[in-house]
Amino acid sequence: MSDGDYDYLIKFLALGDSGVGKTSILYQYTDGKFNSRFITTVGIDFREKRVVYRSNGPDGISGRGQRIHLQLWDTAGQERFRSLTTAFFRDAMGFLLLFDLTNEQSFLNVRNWISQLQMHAYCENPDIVLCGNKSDMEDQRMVKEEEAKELAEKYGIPYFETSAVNGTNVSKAVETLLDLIMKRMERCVDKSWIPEGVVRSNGHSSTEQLHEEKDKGKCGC
Amino acid sequence: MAQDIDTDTDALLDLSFLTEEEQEAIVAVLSRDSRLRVLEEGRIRKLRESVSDPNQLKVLTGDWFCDVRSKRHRHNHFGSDLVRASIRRKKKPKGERGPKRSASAEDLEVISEPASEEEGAFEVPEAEDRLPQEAAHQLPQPTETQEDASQSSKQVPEGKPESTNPFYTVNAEGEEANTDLSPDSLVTGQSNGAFQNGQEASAGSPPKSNSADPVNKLMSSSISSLSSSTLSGSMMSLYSDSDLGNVEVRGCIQFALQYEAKKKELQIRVVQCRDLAEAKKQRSDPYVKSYLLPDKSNNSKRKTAVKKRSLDPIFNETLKYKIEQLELQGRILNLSVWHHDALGRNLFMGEVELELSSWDWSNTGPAWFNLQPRMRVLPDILGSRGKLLFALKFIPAGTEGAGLPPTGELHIWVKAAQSLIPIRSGTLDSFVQCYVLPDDSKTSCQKTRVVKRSLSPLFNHTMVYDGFQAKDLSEACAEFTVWEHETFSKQQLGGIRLSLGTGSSYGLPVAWMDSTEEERQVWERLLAEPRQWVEALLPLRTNLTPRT
Repeated sequence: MSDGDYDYLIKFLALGDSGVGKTSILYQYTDGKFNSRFITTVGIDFREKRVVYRSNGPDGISGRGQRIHLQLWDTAGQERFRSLTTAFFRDAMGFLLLFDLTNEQSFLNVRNWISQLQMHAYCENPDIVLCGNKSDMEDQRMVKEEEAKELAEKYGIPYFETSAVNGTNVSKAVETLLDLIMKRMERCVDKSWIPEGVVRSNGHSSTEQLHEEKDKGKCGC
Repeated sequence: MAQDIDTDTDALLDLSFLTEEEQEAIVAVLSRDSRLRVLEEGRIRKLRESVSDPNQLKVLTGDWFCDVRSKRHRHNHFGSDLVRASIRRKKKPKGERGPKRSASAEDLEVISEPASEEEGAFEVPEAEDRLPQEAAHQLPQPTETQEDASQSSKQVPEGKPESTNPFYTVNAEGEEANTDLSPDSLVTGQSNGAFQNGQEASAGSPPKSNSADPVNKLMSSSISSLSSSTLSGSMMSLYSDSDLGNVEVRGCIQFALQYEAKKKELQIRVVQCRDLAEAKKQRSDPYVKSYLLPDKSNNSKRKTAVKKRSLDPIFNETLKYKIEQLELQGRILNLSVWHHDALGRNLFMGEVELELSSWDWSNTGPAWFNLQPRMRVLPDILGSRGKLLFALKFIPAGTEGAGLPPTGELHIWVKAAQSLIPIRSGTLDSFVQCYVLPDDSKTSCQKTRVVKRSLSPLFNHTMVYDGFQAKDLSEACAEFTVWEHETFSKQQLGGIRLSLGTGSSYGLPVAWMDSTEEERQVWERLLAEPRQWVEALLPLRTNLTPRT
């Protein structure tokens, strides 16, 4: 897939408790599929996807979209792989932090995951998107949407209720994270030549405008 | 308890909790990541040469990220490098020195013992002054060439051990721990009465020794590009060869296969090996191990006895497996030679892998095979092994006048393959096989001839399938697979499936309606433009979902 013919290589990493759906979310995002068999991830894995970040700015910089090659790291949630997966945190530009809406403990552990990220990521305040997964299993829900939103707001990060089964908010979550990164890049170089845009991936067109995200606080550079 | 953000936590990880299988899986993922990084390094290099605006350069190359990270993680190593080094490191207890190494590794040794040169030690011309040797398996020059003119009629496949696979990764397990022989893996040794120790096996002579080319330059240059931006001096020693305890791969093995239908048993008669390398201290104590892949469990493992102090060991042992013949067809026989080390770190000395689905079972006599360096017939780390150029035409019934053709015909023109990446050698003999699914019977299978010694073979082969109506084609899939042809077997390099990719055929979900978008587009064009050639050049996928 990759011949080096892209404009940006962006690396994300999915983390969270075992069984929350990290692998499924990524698979749904890259392939549009869901496999209900639970196969625990051995340590680490990754998927790739090519998307186009197209400008639609008012000053007429239109046309050529920015080709983004996404490398989506998938980490094992199991405790025994912890030392291994933590080593990969430093490589990621953005994080998808997942918990399971039907599993309260996985939600309670979100705070631990965030502190792990603050310790081991490339900077103290990396871009994170929080996802409450398995939104399709409404009758087994154990975490209220308001609770989760509250937590997300406390950390200043976006929150989505996702479903790897039916795809709800999956693209949105990833694209929001991507947009955060692109904006951070922009701030790092102090130049607004990276246009605000709409992320389109091959074969999956996202017709919604990405909503404005509030500023992420100071950038480490 | 807040932990110090320790920028020096580039100490290696303790990954001893990982099982062998887990390590392999992780190493495979790291290989894919290496590939991506190599491409990225190339892209960055070009950008540095062409882009002048420093800000633009900073975002395009990802420097914006690395700069921030380096404030925290001083050495700026990639996590994947850390893990890879940790996996390798785990294999080597402190104080142990690996066997003599080739000249190039000397430069890397931080824990160095001057590598005493063996007689006839070889030069490996690679990037000496830097490298995480992903290419650590040097492919050596043989120290002697056996010019054996008396070849038996059972010719051995002349597999060349060098690999031009640019992403060939040395296996993290250069060695294996000494495991107890469980009852399952008890060797059934049977001396063949016809042979005696010390006597030459009479069935044929070993082939000429492998003439190995030097390590693939493409690989060393691509790997060295990794090191330039990602590794500091202190890490490089960890990638040195001697940490892996690698032994050169040399020599050949003679064995025979037989399936005893009454006992439902596969019998592998391991006869002998010739011209093995010296694993340690000018000797080797070899034994042979077998697996029926993909099963790598202890159930699948069999071993011969160890022959002490021999580079031409005669085993005369039969390894047996109770297995249904049908089951056997889906397996890959892996025979590997190992040096038994009393301290428990056995060393890999070479292997042979055979796809049993293409083995000629009527061939029960012993045959010689060159030992190959460590290769995994694994989930392919390459997504694509080349491209196929072809054209298709659909002629609906009656559209050629006078009621001809009587039924719809699908014409397939297999033109050529391009840029094939062989599994082992520098070149290959190949052919293309075609099915129009759901018909997977023998009559549906059509093959081109074998084109020898070419990475871009020209087949120019047309085939016709008939009996279709247009709506049948919506439920069908034209599956092309490209194969590497070897004397006793064949290996699939990759394939293409042309269909509407709906995931089902005639109302039933099927695994082979898994066409990619490009593949689907070709098929859609075919249906939309009857009686016209529709041509395409598509990548050969290695991820065809297995049909059954």
